[in-house]
Amino acid sequence: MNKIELVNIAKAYEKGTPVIEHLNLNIKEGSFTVLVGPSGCGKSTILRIIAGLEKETSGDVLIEGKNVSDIAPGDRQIAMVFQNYALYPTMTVRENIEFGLKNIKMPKAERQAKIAEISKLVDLEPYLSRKPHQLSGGQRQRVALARAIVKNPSVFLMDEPLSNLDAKLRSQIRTDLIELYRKLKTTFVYVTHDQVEAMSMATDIILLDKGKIQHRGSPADIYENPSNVFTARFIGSPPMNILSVEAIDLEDRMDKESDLIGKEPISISSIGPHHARYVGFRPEHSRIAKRCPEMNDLSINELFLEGIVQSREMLGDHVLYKVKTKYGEVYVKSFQLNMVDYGACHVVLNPKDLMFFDGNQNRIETDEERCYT
Amino acid sequence: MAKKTLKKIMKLVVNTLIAAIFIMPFYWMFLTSLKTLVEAIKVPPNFWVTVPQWINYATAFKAIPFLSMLKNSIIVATGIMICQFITVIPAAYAFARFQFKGKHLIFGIMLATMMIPPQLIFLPVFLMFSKWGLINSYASLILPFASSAFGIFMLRQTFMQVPEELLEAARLDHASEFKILWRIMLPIARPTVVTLVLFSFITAWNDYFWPFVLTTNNDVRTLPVGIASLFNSSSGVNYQIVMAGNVMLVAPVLIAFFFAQKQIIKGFTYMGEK
Repeated sequence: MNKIELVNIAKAYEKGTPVIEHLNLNIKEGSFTVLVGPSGCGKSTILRIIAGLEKETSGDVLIEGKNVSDIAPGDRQIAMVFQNYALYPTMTVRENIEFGLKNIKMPKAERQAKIAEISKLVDLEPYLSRKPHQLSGGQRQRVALARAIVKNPSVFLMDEPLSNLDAKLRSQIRTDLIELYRKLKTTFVYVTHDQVEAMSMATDIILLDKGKIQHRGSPADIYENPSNVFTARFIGSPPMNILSVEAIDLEDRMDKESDLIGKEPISISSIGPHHARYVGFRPEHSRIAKRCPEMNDLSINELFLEGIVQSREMLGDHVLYKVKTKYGEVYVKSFQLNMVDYGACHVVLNPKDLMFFDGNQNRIETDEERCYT
Repeated sequence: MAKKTLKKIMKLVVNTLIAAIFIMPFYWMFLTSLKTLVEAIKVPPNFWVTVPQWINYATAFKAIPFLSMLKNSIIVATGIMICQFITVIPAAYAFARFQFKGKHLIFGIMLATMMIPPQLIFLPVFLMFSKWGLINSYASLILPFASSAFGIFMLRQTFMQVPEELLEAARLDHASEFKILWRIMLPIARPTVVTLVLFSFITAWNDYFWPFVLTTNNDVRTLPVGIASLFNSSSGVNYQIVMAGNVMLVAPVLIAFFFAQKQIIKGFTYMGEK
């Protein structure tokens, strides 16, 4: 069942190009939907339209099938966590959590029971009488969460709630949020520009760019089956290597001893669909090899790209290489920790890991890949 | 090390000098209020008194209807304060947070009123009030100051610094516009509000011109008018009596400042706070 539906939504600010045009979007009941995209893609605007903090220029917003376009933010059964937490600075933690309940005139005893329950859930019990400026970033974050949870909303909206935290705390709160989601079993709509947050928490990812949906699917789907170059480049760290097939073909014609060859020289266009314009592969789906000795190790179908190691980063569980090839720079993520020296090297690929894209940068599904996924 | 000490000493000297410049008039006023007439007009003057003349205070007290004027001062200053509280806060909130037609024009006109000196408008105001039969009433002293362009301007600045998300969070929390103003905006703007309240109180308390021109008898005249009347004595000016009156006039203001100084400083440095 759809919890939230956006029908033909458009949003334009006075003077200026529209941020969103003809957007149709539905968010499933009980899903953890993450709206992700680069800054300026309209993701926060969508969230704010759902919350009613921003008025859509045209189109309808439906929550539980009911058109809420004329319903005030406070009456939409939603709670929101803001990027800077937006805690009321002059109120204590308790008053912050209580404010929304007082406004709906909940009896005092009930209020207190709720606050006790929530503060236990988010570990805030010792801090109830403190003011927000006396708390750390993580604690403020939890107050913001508590303030949202206590209202018992049917949808949680979160606008980049982790971006003000340091890396360690961020990953901790990420797991906390997943646990919370499983405990509360309500619908979460989460906005972020960070693909790691999207991949780690979402059940459903909506990738946006320039106000348009680029890809929508589960984290596994979006990683394995990106529907266009933008998606392929956005998801994954480092992003997918995308090379222009034309450049390779061109080189190929000029120099028959192409770099992208197996034991026998093969042109990239011979293994990909004929209308492919771009070819991509993930850094973690490639290997790096020093030229001579390992050449014999290549299995029958593997391809290799000649290149020069530009930089290498030892990252603990893997080594990240930046390799300069004739066709552009590519990244290789190697899980073999004995590092390859700077200088000439080969990037080894399996043809089944290659993804092809057409002239409009849209994915061309090949039979092989369908088998693969 | 020596440099640091020198810097400290310099700082102390400069601070002392500045403090002296500001304290001197008050000291002089207090000192003169305890002198005899002969001492008060003596050249060169003495910077201390051997026998303090506390009687001067009693003389000043008796020379004018002190208590009734004190009462008038309190009523007028408090009245102005309350009126401004009621008018300034909603206006500042509206100018800071709402979009409406003619907002900038109205705001501009309002700011322009700060540039008009009271001496320019007292005559039409007097005529208007006399037509309404308001001369010699508290209303005539309170109404012209029932709002404050300066106050609206200052408070608007403070309100504009409050992040928009706070208001949005409050709206999602089911808070009415009044509740947002009362429970969220005002507590945040507290230092500014305290400063404004104090300023308007002091301005009203010290105002001489308006209560003087809008009254014809002592019924609603305030203390500054009374103290000024101490000058008019047949036997020349009794400076020590005038000064005793002045000390009694400024004492409440000084006490108020003393208690509110922390808030006032905060009010002016709020810009830097997050």
